Amino acid sequence: MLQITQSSQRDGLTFSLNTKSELTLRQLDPKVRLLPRVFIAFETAGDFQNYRGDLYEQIAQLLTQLSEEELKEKFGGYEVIDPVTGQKYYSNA
Amino acid sequence: MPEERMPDRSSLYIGRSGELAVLSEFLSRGYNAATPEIDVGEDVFVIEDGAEGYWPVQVKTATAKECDDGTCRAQFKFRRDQLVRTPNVELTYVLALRRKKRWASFLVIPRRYLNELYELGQLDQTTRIGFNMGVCVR
Repeated sequence: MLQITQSSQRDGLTFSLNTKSELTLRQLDPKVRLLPRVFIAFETAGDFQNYRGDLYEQIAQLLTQLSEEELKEKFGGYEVIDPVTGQKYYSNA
Repeated sequence: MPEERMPDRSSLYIGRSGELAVLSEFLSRGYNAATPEIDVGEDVFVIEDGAEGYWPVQVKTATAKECDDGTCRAQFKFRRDQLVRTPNVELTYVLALRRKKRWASFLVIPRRYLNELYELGQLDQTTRIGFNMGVCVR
């Protein structure tokens, strides 16, 4: 399963693939061009709660260049975690 | 130049000295640079005049130990939480190495690459919250 890390900032959240997931994707397609990170800005922390599920799917697609179906089929899905605590925010497995 | 006189809080003195050395190096290379009044993780903000944005820089300092083969070694300490979090504006580490009573080398490493080393098990975990990276210089 791929892992995406979610880091909090004052004005939003930054998402990135962890190293092992990035290497896994590069092994699958050595020519793939991956974004180093995706930043989602919010006016208030509560804003993110209203979008959560939909946004995770779009963030995963932006970071991996793969659809939800492809991610499930090839890797058994993905999970979004806090890189410091390991807390799981979301999983599509 | 007065003799080096290291008080008990020597790491604080060396750390601040390293930050100022890095600040000076950026200025001498034509970049605008400043230190934040409150330290919340970045030691230096670097700005290219006329360009948008800024580069946050975290300075790590270490004093080298000389080896018999003419090289020197030093250990730099990192905070785990700062290393593994992905910031909105990417952080750059500058490792300032003090050797023979002067600043000998400045090693520039983006946080992203250092985090890769950590995730691949290439850094020594010394405590629950910190990591060490050994550097060898000729």
